[in-house]
Amino acid sequence: MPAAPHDDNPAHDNDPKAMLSGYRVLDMCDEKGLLCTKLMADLGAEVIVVEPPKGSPARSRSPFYHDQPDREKSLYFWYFHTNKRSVTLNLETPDGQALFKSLVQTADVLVETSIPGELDRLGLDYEHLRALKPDLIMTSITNFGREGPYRHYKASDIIGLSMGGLTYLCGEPDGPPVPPGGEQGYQLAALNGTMSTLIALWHREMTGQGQHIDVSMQAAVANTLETSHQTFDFNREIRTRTGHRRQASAYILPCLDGFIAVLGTSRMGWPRLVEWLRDEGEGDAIADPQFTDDYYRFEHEDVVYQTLCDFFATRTKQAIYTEAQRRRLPLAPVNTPQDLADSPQLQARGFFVEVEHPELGATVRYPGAPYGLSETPWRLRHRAPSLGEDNEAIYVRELGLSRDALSALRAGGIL
Amino acid sequence: MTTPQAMTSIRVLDFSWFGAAPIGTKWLADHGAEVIRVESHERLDALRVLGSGHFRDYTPDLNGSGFFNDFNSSKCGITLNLNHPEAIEIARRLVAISDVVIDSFTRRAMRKWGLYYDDLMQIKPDLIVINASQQGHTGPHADYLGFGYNLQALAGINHLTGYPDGYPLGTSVNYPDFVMPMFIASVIISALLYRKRTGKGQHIDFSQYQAMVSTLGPTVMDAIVNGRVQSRTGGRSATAAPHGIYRCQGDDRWCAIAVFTDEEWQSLGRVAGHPSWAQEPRFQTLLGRLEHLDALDAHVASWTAQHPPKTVMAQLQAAGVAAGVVQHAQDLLENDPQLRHRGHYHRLTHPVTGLTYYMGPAFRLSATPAVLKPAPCLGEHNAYVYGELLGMSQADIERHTRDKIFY
Repeated sequence: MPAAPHDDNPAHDNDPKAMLSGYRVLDMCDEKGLLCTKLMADLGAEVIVVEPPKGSPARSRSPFYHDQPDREKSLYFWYFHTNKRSVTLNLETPDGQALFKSLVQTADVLVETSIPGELDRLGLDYEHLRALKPDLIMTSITNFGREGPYRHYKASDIIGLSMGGLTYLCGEPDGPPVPPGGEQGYQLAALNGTMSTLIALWHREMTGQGQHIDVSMQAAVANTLETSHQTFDFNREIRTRTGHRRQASAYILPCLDGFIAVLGTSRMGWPRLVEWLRDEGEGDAIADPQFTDDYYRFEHEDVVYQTLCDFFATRTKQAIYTEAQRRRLPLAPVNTPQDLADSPQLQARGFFVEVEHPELGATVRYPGAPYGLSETPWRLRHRAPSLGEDNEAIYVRELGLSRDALSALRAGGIL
Repeated sequence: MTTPQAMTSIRVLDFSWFGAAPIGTKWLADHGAEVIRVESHERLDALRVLGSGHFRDYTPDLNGSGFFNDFNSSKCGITLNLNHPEAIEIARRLVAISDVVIDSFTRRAMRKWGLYYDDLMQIKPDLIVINASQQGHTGPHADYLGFGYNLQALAGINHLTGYPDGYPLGTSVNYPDFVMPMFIASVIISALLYRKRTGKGQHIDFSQYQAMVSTLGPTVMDAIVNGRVQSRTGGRSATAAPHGIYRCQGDDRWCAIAVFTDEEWQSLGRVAGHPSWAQEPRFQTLLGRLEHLDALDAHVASWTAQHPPKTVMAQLQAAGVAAGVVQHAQDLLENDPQLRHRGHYHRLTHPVTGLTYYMGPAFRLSATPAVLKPAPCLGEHNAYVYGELLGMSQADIERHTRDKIFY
């Protein structure tokens, strides 16, 4: 179902049936926080992006719609700003700071990603804002945390992933570490922003008390290392990267049209895998029941690897996936972004949503909800806002600024 | 005075296992929710028994798995054998006193036991039920089997991780298991907020697959809108150079460096001691550097290789260039002053493993910080849950234990 076109009437923006309707969130985030506020916006919170007059840096991030580099056509910006509103504000100016303070008094939550100390300089730090709005929840998402020796260290996604320990666990064992793709450092930071903000919102509902949250991208990454810290703690062994041959029968292997993730390590899984090969007249080299034993299999890893390589090389991702699952084997294709867009499961679940972009005269397909909700259906209400699209609605109609004042602030580079 | 906890008013009945969902409820438990983790000897959580490195001295012990314990801090642990007919009625009594019920099975298991949402909401109409399955409970692949290892392949992480001409490596961990928990805890609390406002419960049909793909939105939209299939880059960036992982002095030691501007490039040259390559005209502009990546990376690596990674990081950071050591477990636990400053790892005493590290949350709440307790041993809280919460007599608890219902 196409989402409704953008509508700047705040009364229409709010969906009372949604989980987080009624909450107002101010969003001053770079890439470390965009998914944080998107999740809340998509669950019904009213999220207002406070952008500098020249626009959020995310507006200049590629990819662009039909590769047209234009701040209103960034797919990156679009995706992370569905259901959000936009106002512009120059926080370096006294007028801008005053307006921001008025805005904060209408908000439940402020999520920001500025360098530690930056908001203090502007008199907009938690202590100052709390004086205006005692139950404010302020979520600060930074590279390393707001305090501590690395608080001023510069970082982007790759630095967070490396300092947090995940990069070390990616790559072939005999090669360099390689950072995981998909800006996961940013997304991990943002997701921790969402979770911590909601914990604080629950506490506020119970007690009326607000608080300040200090999220670290590095720490967010450090919580993805599985057993690494326990393994070192117990046995002083440093877990390292395992590459495409993780262990006997946990492999990434080439197949006819791409790659497949093979997992045949379990007590049930291994015999099923061997049976499959036998049914196809292959796999004699691993048919010996001794291979069911983990240690025997690890000792003869080369045979296992070569046999499975040969078997899967002649088959397609889709054929392997379907047959493996029919046999209750947890294999999966290594999907490309195109495979994701074409996924029958994602399509059957209604994951992709058509969003109207009226000024382009087009609808665009977006990846949608992480979950199905029985009582409060997830909705993509409208596309990302254009720069300052809600200035008039918020500043004039809601905060009571006169139109003359709005024009003056525009001319003065404050909006 | 005890520290106030944010989620103390909430009780979660947790039928989940492995990584994703248990870690989600761990974060709730660490912030005060009473999470009752339901386990059984009949169907042990594999994390209690798999592997070896996360057991002290590599010695397996049902209650000594760091793998299990780390993901289950602050919870109550009970045993309940759902394959025993009498167990279902007890499970239903536990449902009646809970706010949230979570499982991570395919839809078949909970249906078989009569513990699916439709059954449970008869017991408690405002219940929040979340099925944290891999692909959701509808659609042609709803019953497909999978674990974090496969999900990172299925959801696109593998394809995007590695070198352009190499394998789609993904990570060496079950990566999505560590991304899902934040989605899961967030949607649970959102449903609680909705219930508080309206009195209504909710069924959440979670899909780990969808949640993982939703972190890759712009990449998927590039395929949909522009027909461009993005792929792995080995850490290189289309808009920054040098950008990647550089070998440093030491065994398997590396530093990440990300140079976005020409000024940062000049700073890097200064830190490196003004070598001739840093002055080469072709490297003075972003476009020039992007055009000559192989030569650029080789020169930068020739400098970094002469220094320990921490020196490279500290010197570049002092000059305003983003850089970070490719840290491993020992670095994080013993040599990272920042994580130490934050008290990131919590040291807790567990009856079997003794004093050991648990991961704390990646955030600090100023008013209600996390307070971690060690993970439960199998069935550790049977007396509390069955006796105190359900009011069963000591004799009944003993009988149920003898009859392998509490097993």
